[in-house]
Amino acid sequence: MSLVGKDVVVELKNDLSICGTLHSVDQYLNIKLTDISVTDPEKYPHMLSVKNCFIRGSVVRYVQLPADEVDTQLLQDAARKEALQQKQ
Amino acid sequence: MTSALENYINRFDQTINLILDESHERVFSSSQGVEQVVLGLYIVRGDNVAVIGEIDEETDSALDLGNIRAEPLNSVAH
Repeated sequence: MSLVGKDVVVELKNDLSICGTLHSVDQYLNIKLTDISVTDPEKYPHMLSVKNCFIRGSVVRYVQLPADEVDTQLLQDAARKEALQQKQ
Repeated sequence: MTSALENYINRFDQTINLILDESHERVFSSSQGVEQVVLGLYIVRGDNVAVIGEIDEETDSALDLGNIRAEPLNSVAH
């Protein structure tokens, strides 16, 4: 179940929030978004002429996902398994 | 004052180190319009990169930079 093509909001560690369609993610959790808009009222005019962007994984604080696009049970189970693997 | 380096990304690598050609910096201020500072050929270390935005030339040329005011961007707090 992929979230590519869904709309997400990426909140950065400098408090900037960028809304856009998820294009791709890589191993560093770098994110590419298309058709972006800055969610907070243009307090941030820096991105006015930007449609597509690349966000470095290290500066992401949160990625807000649409709740109905995510199977939370599946996610919980996967996270639990991952945590178990990490411990071993 | 906050700044954004712009122009052509010639090369980049895994850690997002960048080579920027014909770069200029847009300095945003809450008291005056956007100031553009020509920089030339730059190497930027990836650690310092937060976002790389692809500029839509059409939208960008329609911008009135002289009238844009912006509060300083916060620095990245890990």
